[in-house]
Amino acid sequence: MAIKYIAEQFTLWLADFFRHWYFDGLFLFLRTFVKTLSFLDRIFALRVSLKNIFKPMYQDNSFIGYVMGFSFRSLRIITALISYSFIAFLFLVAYLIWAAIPPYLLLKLFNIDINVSNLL
Amino acid sequence: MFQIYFKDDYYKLSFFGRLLSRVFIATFTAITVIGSAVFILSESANLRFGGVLLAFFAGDRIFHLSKSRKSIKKLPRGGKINVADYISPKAKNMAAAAFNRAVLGERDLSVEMMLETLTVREVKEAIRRLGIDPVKVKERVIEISGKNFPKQDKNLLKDKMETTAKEAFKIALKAGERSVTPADFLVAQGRAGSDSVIKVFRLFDIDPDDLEKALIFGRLAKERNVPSTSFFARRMPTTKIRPVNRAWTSRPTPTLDMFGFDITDMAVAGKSGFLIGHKNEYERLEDILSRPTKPNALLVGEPGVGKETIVGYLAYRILKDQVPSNLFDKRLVALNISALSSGADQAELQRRINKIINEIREAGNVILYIPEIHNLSRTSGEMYLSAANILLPLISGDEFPTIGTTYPKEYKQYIDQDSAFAGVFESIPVGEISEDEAEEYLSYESVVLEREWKIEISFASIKKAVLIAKKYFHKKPLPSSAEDLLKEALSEARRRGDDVLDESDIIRAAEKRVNIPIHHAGPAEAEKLLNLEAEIHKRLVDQEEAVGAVSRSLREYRSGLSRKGGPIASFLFVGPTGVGKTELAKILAAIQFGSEEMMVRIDMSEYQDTGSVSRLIGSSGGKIYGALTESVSEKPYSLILLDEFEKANGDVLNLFLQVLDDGRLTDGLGRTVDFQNTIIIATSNAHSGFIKDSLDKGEDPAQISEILKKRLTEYFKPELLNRFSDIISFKTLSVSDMEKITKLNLASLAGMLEESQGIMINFDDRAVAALARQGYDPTFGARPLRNAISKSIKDPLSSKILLGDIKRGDIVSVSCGEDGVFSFSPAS
Repeated sequence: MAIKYIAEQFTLWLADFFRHWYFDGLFLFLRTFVKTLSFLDRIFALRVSLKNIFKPMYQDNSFIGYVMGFSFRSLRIITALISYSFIAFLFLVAYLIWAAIPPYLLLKLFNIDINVSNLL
Repeated sequence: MFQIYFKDDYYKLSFFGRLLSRVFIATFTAITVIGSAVFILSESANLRFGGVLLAFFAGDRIFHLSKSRKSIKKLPRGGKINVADYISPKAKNMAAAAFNRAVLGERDLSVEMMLETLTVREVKEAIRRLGIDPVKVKERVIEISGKNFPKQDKNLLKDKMETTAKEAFKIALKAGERSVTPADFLVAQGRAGSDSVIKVFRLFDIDPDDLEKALIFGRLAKERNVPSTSFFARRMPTTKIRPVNRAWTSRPTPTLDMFGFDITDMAVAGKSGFLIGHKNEYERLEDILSRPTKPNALLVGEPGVGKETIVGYLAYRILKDQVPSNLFDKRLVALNISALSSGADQAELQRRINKIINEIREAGNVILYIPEIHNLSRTSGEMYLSAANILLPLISGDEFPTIGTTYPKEYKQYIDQDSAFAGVFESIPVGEISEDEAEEYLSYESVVLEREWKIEISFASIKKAVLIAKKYFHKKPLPSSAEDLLKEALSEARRRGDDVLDESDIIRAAEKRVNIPIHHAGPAEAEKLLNLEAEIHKRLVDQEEAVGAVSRSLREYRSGLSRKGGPIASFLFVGPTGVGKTELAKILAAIQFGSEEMMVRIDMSEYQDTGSVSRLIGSSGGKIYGALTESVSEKPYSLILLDEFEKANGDVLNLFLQVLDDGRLTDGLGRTVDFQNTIIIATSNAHSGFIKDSLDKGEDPAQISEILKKRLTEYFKPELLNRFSDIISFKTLSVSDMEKITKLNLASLAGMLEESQGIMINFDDRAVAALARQGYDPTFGARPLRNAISKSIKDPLSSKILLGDIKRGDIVSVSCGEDGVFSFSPAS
């Protein structure tokens, strides 16, 4: 009974390691990513800019106000999208590297060479 | 919603099985760490990679060593949950150790678990905060643990473990913790443990709910940043005002910024405020502000009840975008009415208001907050009247949401009367938070106060502060009243140089304020109470029944045995005039309440018409002062004497039904006045003739009382008579009574003369008898005695003193001849 319990515990630890690495790790990356975007959104205000894209600038209901509102907000939305996309790309790369670490180490441990260029 | 169950094969193992598994776990962890170091330092490159992987694995194990497998903060939405996955390793080891001892040693599992939890620092700290010595608790538990306990089936023990684990899980979930900790197991024991454990809890007066709150201290004491409970107390003077919103749809509002302050900006700069209680009021506020029509809310509540806190919390939620989407990106700006109208004539005021309103319209992202909005309607100043006329029509246009705050009295007086004003807003009554919420609030606040005052605050003192504030301090609601009391006690404790604040400090601070004996009766007071009849008889002759009744009621009150709800005691004294009814009331006020001035005397013959109700409780507009309610508000611990009770109007008498039953009365302004610390004595001359005749016939006083009660229904409703603690008949005075009363009065005169003039005076029996005869009247009782003493003794005595016939240091003997003339001769 005890041996069975110990074996189950060992299996759970192994499973937990991979769960923490991949599952919890993914959530950690996502949370950090979202926090970073929230912080940036206080500057770029993507969501509220999209919501109000057709509203006049500073409540100026003249033609100029509408044009300026649309132009400036569009510029900001584009800047925000580019910035956010870049941040997302960085996080994705970081996570992929993170995810690749255990299999890479395992392969290296068993002396299996990987040619990254062949993979790509 | 998820379902919980408990499954952990660990408890199915034998003792050696559990031991083996623990040894293996410890060994394995060590091997992993050592192995990774060895591999990393090896010469083989492959092994180095393996070492790194092993190091990650070891790091993961060590990082999660003190954590549960899963986090309570990340529960699935539905399905089944194994509570065992959420128990911290420390709690699991503790539970396992208790389980081992229960199985092997034939012990009570609950007791063993309690014993294990008492070694945890957080638990010891929480128990200490409750004013209980954790060492003593542990000693008691060890004592019980050592007692024989019948052997229990292992399956039964596993079932008990399961019940406790599930209960502990619910407690941890409610507290918002990551894992189930040993402290949660202890609270679970208090709720669902064995009889032995429950007995220990009761022996040390540990309430599981209190223990849960006291654990806040242990948890927060470790943290550097404590949540701020007082949102506006820590305003940052250099707060930057954002001119426009993030969406660029708004415009700057310079005039509004000049006469107001941006609360959302303060939420950015200040610490995060949180709200305890008032959840319903906050949700209602959000609903009203986010609707398209009439988005104007009026928070109505007493000062200090939490209206500003609710508004501050809204600002915090707006900042976090945790509000309905149409409140996103809004600015919550408070308007300062006095600044607005300061130094402005009507035209200037109008100009300012119009400018502000235009700015708000153009900005499109402002929620206007007007504190003390009733000031718009006050007719005491022309400026305020103008502000209301201008502002309200603009607010009623539904162009921007508005929040106002006001007090109940001002709401009734200024807003409710004005249908235009009242129609613009939807009112949200903000009541006092509950005692539980106040305790929780003060627990958080105390962590901050401890750091400021450098004095440890026990949880018992917090509970006492809330209890006493709720019972005696009604001018401010909870938690402000309790917080004030706590701070006063802290100030006193600091003055004394104490480093721990306990219950007695709170009681001391409260007694200073209200002059009510809250503490338990000490030996001196107990002695006084036990001999109260003798004490009263030093000044009052006879009337044994009355003296006995009032003495009994006071002893019950001070020993905590009096009826809860209702005044300390209430009596109806019935009897002829001049026999001592009012005198007994005065003596009681002096003995028990410290002074005759603690007696509130109301002549009910002045309240014979229907309109006189408002003269007793005040009018709804606050213009008429309530003689009864205001007096009791100022002196909550006092004696209320209602003379000539039978002469009062029926509506006035009906007020006392509630007073005598619940000890409360609502005044004209809707405030509740507490009569629970008063003694009420009503006097009446009704049927005094019947009492005299019955006593003269020698009838049994108890029987006389019974018949009297029935006869008194001619004057009072039966339900009113029933509410008195006792109806006491006062006897007419006999000749010997009169002589005793005369002697008491003369002794008082002699004392006064010796003190003021240094003259000693004594009276022989003939003088006493003569004065007693002169001072008694069958109709007026002993009332003429004062006049007789004044005429026969004081008047000639004062002449002799002024003429110099009697000087300081003289001893005078007073006698009375057969002709009834009093003589004053020097004594040898």
